[in-house]
Amino acid sequence: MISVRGMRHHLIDIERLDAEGKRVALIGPNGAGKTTLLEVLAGMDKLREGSVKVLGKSPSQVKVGWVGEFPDRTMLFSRVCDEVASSLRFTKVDQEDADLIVMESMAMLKRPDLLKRYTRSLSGGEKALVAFAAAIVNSPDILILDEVDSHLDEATAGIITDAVQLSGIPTLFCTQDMDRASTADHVIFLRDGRVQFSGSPAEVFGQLEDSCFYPSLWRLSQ
Amino acid sequence: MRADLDFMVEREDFKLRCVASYGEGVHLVSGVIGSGKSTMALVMASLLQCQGRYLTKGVQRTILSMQFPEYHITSSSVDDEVRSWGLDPRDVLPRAGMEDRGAIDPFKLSRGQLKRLNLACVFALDPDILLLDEPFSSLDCMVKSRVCKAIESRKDKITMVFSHERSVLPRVESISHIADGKLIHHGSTPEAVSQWASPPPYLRQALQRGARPQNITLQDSMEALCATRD
Amino acid sequence: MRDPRLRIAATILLSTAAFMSTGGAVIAFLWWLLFTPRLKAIPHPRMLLGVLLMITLTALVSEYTGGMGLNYLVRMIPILLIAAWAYSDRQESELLDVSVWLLGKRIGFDIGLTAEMGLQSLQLISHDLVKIKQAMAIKGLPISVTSMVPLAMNLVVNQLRRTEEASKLLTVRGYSAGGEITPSFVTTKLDVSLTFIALLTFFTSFWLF
Repeated sequence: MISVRGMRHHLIDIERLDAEGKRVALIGPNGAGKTTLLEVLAGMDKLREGSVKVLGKSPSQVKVGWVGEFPDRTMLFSRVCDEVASSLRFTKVDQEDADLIVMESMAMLKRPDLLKRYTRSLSGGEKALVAFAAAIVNSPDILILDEVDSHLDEATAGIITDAVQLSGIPTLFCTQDMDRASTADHVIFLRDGRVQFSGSPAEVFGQLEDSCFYPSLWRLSQ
Repeated sequence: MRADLDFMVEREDFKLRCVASYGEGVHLVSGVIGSGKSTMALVMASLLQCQGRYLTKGVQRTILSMQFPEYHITSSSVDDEVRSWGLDPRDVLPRAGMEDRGAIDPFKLSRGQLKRLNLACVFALDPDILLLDEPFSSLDCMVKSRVCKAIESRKDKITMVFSHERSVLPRVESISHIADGKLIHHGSTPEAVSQWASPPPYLRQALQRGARPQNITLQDSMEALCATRD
Repeated sequence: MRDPRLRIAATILLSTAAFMSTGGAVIAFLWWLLFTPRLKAIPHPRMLLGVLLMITLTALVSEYTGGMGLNYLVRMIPILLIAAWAYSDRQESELLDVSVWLLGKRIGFDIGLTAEMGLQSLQLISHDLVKIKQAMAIKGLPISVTSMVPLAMNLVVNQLRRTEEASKLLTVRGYSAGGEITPSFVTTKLDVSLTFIALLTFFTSFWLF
């Protein structure tokens, strides 16, 4: 899914990193550089040194669906339907087609009722759902989620996790919830801007057994 | 020391009714986003008007730590920020692991660091009632564990933890849950543990497997599971 | 009124009529009295009262110093009331619709988008302000001239961070210039009638004094 070569960017220093799989989790302590890495891979930040490939292409050639850490604080439009449709509006997709796609995505998230609302009137969890819907409407090649779950309750985070699986879109996500990370195909553990471990959940968490990063459900079944 | 709640807050399309009584110790209040956890904390901090009453006994000082630590910033250096709470940076900064950061602008800190700084300050103030609104959000599990230790050490004071945290939790004296505009007080631990409306995944699994954890931490669930095997 | 285009047109016509002549002002006032929810439509009654008080004072001073103060007062009141009505009757997002209708999918969309984002920022800033005041109360700091500086700093930094987030979001959602949106408006017969009466008022105001 992603490959990184000789990346030196702010505090990040990664010589080589390859991750394959449908769902890739990025974990690590605060200040490890997770968001910085995600922003470069999403094409939101220009890389200073080295090269990165997403799905075999340069980030600017990949259609990315992005949800940040505070989706509730970054709404662009006042109508929910405009917010969800924003990427379709910006890329000039015919309005009728756009309306249909928007309706389908909100139906998949089991909340078609939100489309009639104004973004201001939404609760925090509803805003996260809207931001997620906005990220998937233009059928992105990859979804990049930056700690979306850290300010969400379990129910809302669960709806998003289900929708990711249902959409079938390859997903790169960063999280502090190790139980969620342990369900990924590939896990990357970043610390101080360097890749400390990278591999299957069993390989990576096997190295982290003595730390609090070990998934709680795994510890329970020991 | 005691805090007695019997109040109601009503706004357009929002309602919260709280009836509960909290004594010394750590009390967890859970609930989804927007359910009213922050509203309840604001009432207990006397920052929001309510209908009904909120009474305390033997309480001199109440401090609220808000979910977003940047709102607390009033100074242009980390040292002055600590002083703005009436504290000495030499005491507080080592506890936040920021001995060398005293001179820098607090807005230059990451949200995780800012949260650590804010929590170090409010714990150092040692108020009679400490209200922690989402103290774990934006923090990694190592910092969360340290925050839990600090929370648990406040044995003879009242500490309210408003959180939807699912993996690292402190040992608590009581559990409450807010849903559909109402605070449901599940009562004291260990009885309340199995009553809790929204247990974290590990606790739910432990309960499903027939264990009776004494409290809500992962450690408690593991010990209870071991006990069922004997 | 449901159609924002007609509401804006009626507002402009009636305000001009009221400004043109006392007679126009009287008819504009009657229009406000008959066709709006009147005082219920005033979003911030205290603010309006403050403005009215200021205008009345100016008018009185002007009247006593030999000006046309009372006449000025009579013309200003309907203008204010109609502006308050137009403000409270507005729907979120209609700026985007009207601006695209008026100026097209490129410039119109960009202006509408900017307006939308501006409105969102205003809402968030007022939310920030409430939170910052609460945080200062927790520290026991009074709201004073000296505490205004960190308060303003806090607001600015928060706003800058959000702007940065929003610009990243625009990039990743594929924004370059303009956007595809077909504004739709609901025009009721009442809207048309009320605008027509406003138009008549506008023309009549030239004949009256």
